[in-house]
Formats: sequence, C-alpha cells, structure tokens
Amino acid sequence: MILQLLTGGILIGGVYALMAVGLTLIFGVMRIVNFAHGEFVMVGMYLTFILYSVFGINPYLSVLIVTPVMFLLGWMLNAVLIKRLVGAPHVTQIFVTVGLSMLLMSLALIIFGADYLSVRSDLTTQVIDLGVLLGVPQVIAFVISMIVSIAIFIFLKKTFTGKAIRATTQNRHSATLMGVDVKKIYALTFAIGTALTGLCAAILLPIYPAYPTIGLGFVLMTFVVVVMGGLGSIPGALIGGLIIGIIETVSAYYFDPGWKEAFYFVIFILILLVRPQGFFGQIGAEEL
Amino acid sequence: MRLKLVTLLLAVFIVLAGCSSGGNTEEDASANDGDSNKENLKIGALFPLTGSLALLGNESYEGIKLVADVVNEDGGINGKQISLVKADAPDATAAQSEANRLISQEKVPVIMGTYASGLSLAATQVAERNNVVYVESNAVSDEITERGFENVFRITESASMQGDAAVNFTNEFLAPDFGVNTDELTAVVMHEESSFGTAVATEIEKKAEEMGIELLSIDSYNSETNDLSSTIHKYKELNPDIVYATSYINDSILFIQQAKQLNFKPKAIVTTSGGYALSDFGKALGSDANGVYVADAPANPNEEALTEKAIELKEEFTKRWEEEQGTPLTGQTWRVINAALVMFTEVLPNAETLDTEGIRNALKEVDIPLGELPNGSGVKFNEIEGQPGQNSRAEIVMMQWQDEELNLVWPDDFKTSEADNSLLFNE
Repeated sequence: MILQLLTGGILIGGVYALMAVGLTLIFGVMRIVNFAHGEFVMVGMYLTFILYSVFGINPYLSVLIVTPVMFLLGWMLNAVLIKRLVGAPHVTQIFVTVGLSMLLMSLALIIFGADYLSVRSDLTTQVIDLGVLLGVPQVIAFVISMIVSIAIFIFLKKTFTGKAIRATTQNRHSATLMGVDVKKIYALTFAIGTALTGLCAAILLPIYPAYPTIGLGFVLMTFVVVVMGGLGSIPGALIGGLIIGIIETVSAYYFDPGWKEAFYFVIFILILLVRPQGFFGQIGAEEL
Repeated sequence: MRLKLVTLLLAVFIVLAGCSSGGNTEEDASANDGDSNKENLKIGALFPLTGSLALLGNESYEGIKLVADVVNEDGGINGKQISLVKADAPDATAAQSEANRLISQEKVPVIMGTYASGLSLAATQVAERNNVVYVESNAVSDEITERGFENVFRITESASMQGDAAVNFTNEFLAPDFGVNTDELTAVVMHEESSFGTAVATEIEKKAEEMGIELLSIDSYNSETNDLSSTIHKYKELNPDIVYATSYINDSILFIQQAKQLNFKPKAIVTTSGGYALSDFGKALGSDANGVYVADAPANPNEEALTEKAIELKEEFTKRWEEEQGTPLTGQTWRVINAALVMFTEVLPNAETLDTEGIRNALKEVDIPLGELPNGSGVKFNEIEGQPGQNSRAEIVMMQWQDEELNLVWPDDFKTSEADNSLLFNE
C-alpha cells in the first residue's frame, strides 16, 4: 500500500513540479511574485478545450499549439505590463499580478460561464497495472513534465542564453555589467514561464475539468513547492513538487484527507525557518 | 529579510482568500421600467454570482427570476410588480456586506438566497439582527434553522433530511436487494468539510448507528482537492458495502473518476445532492456516472404524486426554463422555483402588511399539502422540534444516474424508473 501511495504521490507531484518550474524561473530571474500563474494554467485549459471541442484536436497534440500561443501571450504581457514591475515595491507587484489574476478569472466567467468543461476520452479512466495501479493520463502528464523540466534544466546549464538567464538570477547588476541584455532575458523568462503553464494546461485537461477558479487550487501548492525547492532552482522545483505530492497522498491515507493541507504547510513553515533559501536555493536568493 | 518573504506569502494567501469578494450590484427590474418605484415590490436575491460557487449561484438566481417574470406577467403581487435586487456573495464576508446593503440601502422587506450554507449562515445573521425576513431557498445545512432565529425560514429540505433519506433508502431498498439485513451492512462516509458536508455526515452517522449499519471510516476533505486517491485506497482495503458521499462538483467528478480508475467497486455509492446531482457531473463522466445514487429534492416526480395544479406548473416552468436556458431543469433549480412560488403566490399576496411582521406571520400561516408544489413537496413551518423555521413537508427522494441521466427511483409513489445496483461501473 505504501508503494501505491508513493507512486500516486510522485505522479501528481510531477505535475506540481512542472507548474513550479515556470514559476520558479520567473520568481528567481525577475524577482516578481506572479500570482496570476494559476490563471495562466486556467487560460491554457480553456484554450485546449476550444481546440478540442471546435477543431477536434486531441489535448496531447494541442500541446504543440497551446504552448507557443501561451509563449506569445507571456511575451506580450511582459511587454505591456510585467516589465514595469521589475524592481517595483512588493506591494505594487502584488496588486498588479493579483489584479491580473482576478481579471483573467472574471473574463473566463464572462466568456465561458461557471460551467465545468471537461474533455472525455477513453484514456481518462485507463490504468496500467504493475502491482500498483497507475492512471494513464497521470502517467502521461508525469512523463511529459519530467522530460520538459529536464530539458529546461539542460537549456539553462548548456546554452549561452541559459547561462545568461542563470547569471541574471545570481546577480542582475553583475550580469548587466557582463554584457547580458537583462531586459531581453526578462521577457524571455516570463514567456517561457507562461508557455510552461500552457503545456501543463494541455496535459491536465484530460484529468481535471476547466473552470474559472481552477488556478487557485494549484497556485498555492506551486508557491509552496517553489519556496521549498529554492527560488530559481529547477531541480529544487522538481524535488519540491514530488515531496509535496507524496506528503499529500501519504498524509491523506494515514490521517484524515482534510489534514493534508495542514501537513504540507507545517513542513513549508519548518523549511522557511530552518533553511529559508530552500533545498537548492543559493543563500541570499530569498531576499526579494 | 527572510521574514519579508514569509509576510509576503501570508499576505498572498489572505489576498487570494478574499480576492473573489467583489460586489456586483445590479437592479433587475423584471417588468416595465416605466413603472414608478411605488408600484414595485423589491425583493432581495442574494447568491454567489461570481467565484467558485458561481455555476449554481447564477442558476439559482435565474430560477427566482423566472418565477418573478411569470408572476409579473400575470399582474404581479396584488398589482405590484416584483423587482428583484441582485446581490453577489462569492464569500461569507461579501454575503454579510451585501445583506447589509440590501437591508439598509435597498430597504427590501425580504431577502431570498443563498445556495451555499456557509454564505447563508453569514447572511441570515445580518437579516436576523436587522429584523428582516430571510427565506432560504436552497442551502441545506441544519445550522441555518437551528439557531433559534425568528426571521429565517427554509423552504427546501435540510442536510439532515438528506442524510436521513440516504440511510432510509439503504434500509428500505438496498438491504433487501442485497438479500441481507440492514444491520449486517458495512459502510464508509466521505464528506467535504464545509457546513453542508458535515451536517449530512453527522446525520448519516447518527441514523446508521440506529439502524445497526457498521461505519468503518468517516473521512472529511477540502472540496478544492486535486486528488482523492489515498482515500479510495483506504476504502479498497476496508471493502465496505456502501459508500455515503457528500461533495461539491469538482470533487464529485474526481471521486468517481478515481474510484473507477483504481478499480474500487462497492455494492452501492449513495450520495447526497451537491455535485452528484448536476448535469456537469454526468457530462464529465459519461457512462462512468451510471449507477450512482443521489438523494436530492425531486425533479420530475411521477405525476400521480402531484395535484393537477402542480402538474400544470411543472410543465409551464419546465418548458420556459428549457426555452430560456437551454438546459434541463434540475432538482436544485426546482428548490429555488418552489421557494419563489411559495413566496410570490402564497406568502406575499396573503401578508397583511408588507413588512417584517406581516411577512413573518404569513409564512407561519402557510399550509400547503404534499404534492401541491411542482416537485411534490408541500410547505408547513413550526413542526420540527428545534427548527421552527424548517419546512417539514420538503420532499427528498433518491435519484440514480441511468443512461447518463438522473432518474427518480425511490420512494415508490414518486419513482419514474427502477433502481438498479448492477449499473455501477459496468463496462
């Protein structure tokens, strides 16, 4: 049973991890707390739903469309709004990104209503039985999440642009001095972070229905994951996501499921007290 | 500096928790706008029209509006046109402030609402303090009518009546159908942790104990959850005959989907209202929804249980709702329509004065026999010990998802279809 719980936790944790990778990039590089991150997932889910219901495109295929569209959306949002927030006081950042989140939720409510829109395919309740039961859509989501997270990690480590992004995370002033075009890096980071939410959205739609407030359920968890793993750290987001997933399933089984939020928030607070930079964060990175 | 981050995150959780509390206000003059205000009778309609509860909040409002339109077309209440004053209450704080606004600024003599129990508990408190009548159309938590408030009346059933029905159905139909005595059955109770789920679960627990049903586990969870697999694994090991479940929509879909996926198949899943009764539940799950039982206020009962007038009303409202909304009229919307019918055609026309005292007295006098309302219910207050504001004649029936639609299967005099235990998770 514990094996079943662990695999269940790892599968759901993989999805949290992918969401957290986007957030941690933005958080780490731009020092902007993006509270609209969950709503980007929601927008992506509606986009995927439209592609499915109007054009009959399989959600997994629509990754190829939704991800670039969200990349563009992220780029545009950065150009008109987000770039003005870099270096602005926290209160301003909160107002703007929370405002953006409310705006997106209300728009979704106006356009799509409060209905729960879901994509049904035969895959939805399929399982792989390996002694432990693995849901097929969950496995697909997990595998894609892992591949993409690792790809992003390699991109940051190996490519020149990736290195420029990391340099900006470490110290934006020194990076500027070294000739990194910080503004461009910001735009790119925000667009990548947003594109990742689109990717998440497409692989989540076969599991969860789309509705205007679905982002709220995910975004709190994602923040916990990001802080736990360390701001700006991709491996941190991965491991943080998996840990939260496991805490959820194990605590819900052995205690009351109503307690699972309490469990991971207690762990979250403990980590903030003992190791405020998170597992993999560099010391000082938590100073916003 | 590290404190800053903690403070920041705390601030966020607070902001996110409160961020949906925008106040939408809009006066909906259902009739000719040319009428002067004196000819209109203002009624407050308070529902969650935005936020996570918006789906049914809006549907509830449309239910009241439909009845107001019909009554207005027939000449209104003693010549006065009903004018609904819309109030949006996405959370408890907004429910209180909107109730305050309806009372102090709009000066409505009666407020109708609320769909969600948590919101109702908040809003009714304001109404009671300001001595204004509050008629609850579709929030079911017992607590609403248990607090000894003299201005709060509920026309639909209470959560404990739902729990009661779930266990009675087990006793009268399931046990004989399984070929065992009721006291040989085992069950688990899974409920979302708000006022609604807790009230239902408490009643099921009490009633199951009386009947000798052994409860193996009682689990509460947050309805916003992303995963219920751990609970399902636990149930697989406990192997109960029956699962009693109370959920909102998101979690109801998740539970059935994951139960199917993880190959958990109890003999029966008996749910109470909430998400399980919604058409989105059926749409999301398709044939996987089949077999699930839902205790709910009746929609489309067998016409033999209705009076002629009730059949007429039922047909009229079903037709108009489908024309205007394009969706089937569910038990949940019937609750609101019933409440509005009772208020607009029985209570308000017969109230001596259109103030708190007049309306309250008229409510206490109402005596509608069973079967007179289009869903088979009647209305009578002051009959339940400790809950004088609860309608004792609110009907509650058992429906079952069959061929991807909800059919009424119990009790016998209401049923339009036969209950069938073999439908659950049947390929």
